[in-house]
Amino acid sequence: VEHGARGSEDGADRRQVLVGSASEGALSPAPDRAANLYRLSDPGLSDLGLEALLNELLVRISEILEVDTAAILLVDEEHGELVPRAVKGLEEAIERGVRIPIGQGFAGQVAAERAPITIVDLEGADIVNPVLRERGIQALLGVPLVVEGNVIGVLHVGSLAAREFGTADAVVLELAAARAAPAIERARLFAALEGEHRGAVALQRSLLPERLPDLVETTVAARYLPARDEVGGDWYDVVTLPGGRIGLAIGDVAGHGVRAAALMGQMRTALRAYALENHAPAVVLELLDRMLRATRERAMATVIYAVIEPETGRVTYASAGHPPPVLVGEDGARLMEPATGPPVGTVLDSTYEEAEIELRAGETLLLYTDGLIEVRGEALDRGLARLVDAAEGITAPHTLCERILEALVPSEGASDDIAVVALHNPPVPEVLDLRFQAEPETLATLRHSLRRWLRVAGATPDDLAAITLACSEAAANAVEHAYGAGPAMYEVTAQMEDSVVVLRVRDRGQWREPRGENRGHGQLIMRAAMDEVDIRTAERGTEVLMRRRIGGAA
Amino acid sequence: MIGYDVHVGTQDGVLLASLEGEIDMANVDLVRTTVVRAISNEAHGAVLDLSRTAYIDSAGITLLFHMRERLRVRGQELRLVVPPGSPAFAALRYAGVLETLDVRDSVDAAVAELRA
Repeated sequence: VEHGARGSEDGADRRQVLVGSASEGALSPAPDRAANLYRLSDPGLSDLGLEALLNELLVRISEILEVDTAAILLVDEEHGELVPRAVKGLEEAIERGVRIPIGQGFAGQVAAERAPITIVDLEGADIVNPVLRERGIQALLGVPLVVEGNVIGVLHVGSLAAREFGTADAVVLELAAARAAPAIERARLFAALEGEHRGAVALQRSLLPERLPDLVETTVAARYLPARDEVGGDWYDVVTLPGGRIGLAIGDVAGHGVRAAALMGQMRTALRAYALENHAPAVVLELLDRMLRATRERAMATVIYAVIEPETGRVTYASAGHPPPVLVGEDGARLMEPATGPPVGTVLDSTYEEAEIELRAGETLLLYTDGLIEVRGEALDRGLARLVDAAEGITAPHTLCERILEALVPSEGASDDIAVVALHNPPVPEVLDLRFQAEPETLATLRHSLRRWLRVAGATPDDLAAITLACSEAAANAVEHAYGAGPAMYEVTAQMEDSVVVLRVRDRGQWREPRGENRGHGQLIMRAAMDEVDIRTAERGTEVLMRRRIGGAA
Repeated sequence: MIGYDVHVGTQDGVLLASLEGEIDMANVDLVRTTVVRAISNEAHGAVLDLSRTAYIDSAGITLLFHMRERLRVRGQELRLVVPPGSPAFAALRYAGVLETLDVRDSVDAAVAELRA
């Protein structure tokens, strides 16, 4: 035993904890080792990747200390074990997947005692790693790898010849450990972050809608942009509601990382469920607020939920602390009334106000998250002004999404994640010209399109009810004709002749006269609701031509 | 898309089902099942509230007749609530069945009749 060794002989294995280390400066290394020591702190090592660095360190240590084996084991915190990470002369240890519980065996004790330990005779020593004995190692020296007071692993060397490692050897090994530990930790943290980022991005993607619903009258576009180096909790959603209405949602869960993304998933699902229950926007936000406060996690989110009625262009929305919607028309863009309550998850029993706006034919409603407009150290107004400028006059929803992201997101990526969703209410055509699969489900869509057209044409509520009924009945007949005849289509056209609506419903089937006691309602309705009904059946199909004067001049 | 929503409850001990949304040949069978299932054998009758029904066509009107017939067989009565000016009112008027079906202006009026 060399001088400076503390006499803590540990029974048969002659294990010793060595005192005096490089950091304590208890012992200066011998002059002939100065050059060797430099080889361990060589700045050139910094250029190496982790793998190469560790291997190079092991090679240099082996040469300096003239040992036969060298190994770096890292702490697996989850299992409280040490796992070989880089080895020289002990390759089997990695191949066999050796794991050493902290506190047991040689390396396990180095980690537990956070001090250099040497074993001068392996015979009878507490050794967990079988490879050490199999290789015929006679003596071992190990030091802990420490970063900021935490043991992250163990570095040890072994000799096939009988040998007594001393404090001077420990100093060299500790120097190597000091070189390796921070590099390992950096790489580990990086890998962990990278893993979390990748995991969170995948999670978030899985939580956002895969595809937006096919809407008939309106078109919707949306984009999600993850942050440069973090995952956030932004989301958007589009739901189709009874009566041809559309629910549009956007939200931003406070915080970042996997937790925010997971919470976002819960929020999105909950909002979707409340929306499908047909609740008004303010109620949806109140329920969402209650739901969020009932979860054990403390969480907060800003949300807008809007219900759009394409037939009338009426938009009803409520906002929980979210930036205001933007309304984009051919001739400009403007911010909507805030109509805002507190973010959900903040105050006890939040209540929300609803605002109503008109989304006219040809206009587009834009919702977004604050990542789009926020620039650190800048007033929010400036970001909003930039957004309004960028959006001006662009009513095509896909183009709008692209342009605003292009204009507002820095080329190196956003520091916060961004979600945008745009809904376009297209102009109403002069002549309505629709084609549908002959399926019962198309009738509702037909009625919505027709009502929208009729409103612009100047129909009164009575006109709307009458013409919609007559048209839908004629179309229902076309659908019934098509049954069993394979895929078939029917066509509906509507146009104005002075103040008369001229409606044509055409199919390729045979008109079927009503049968049974209650079967005649359809034709009765058509004839009662319209001024004129003309049913022409030809070999190539049936055409129902109907007229009604609209605007109250019955 | 489902297109409609049925709310079932009771008012003064009378079963009250209200139909929201649109009823046409695409969902009429579903509506029938939902409403008929809600009416127990013990009930005197039922009130079907169409005041918030945005659309009902001839298929829906046929359903109303079927339901009335079905209840009659069990000794139960059906009252419809169809306020003037509502979309359902227009449909029933154009079909000429406002008088044939027992139509009332308000839920209260319909419920009061079935309680008596």
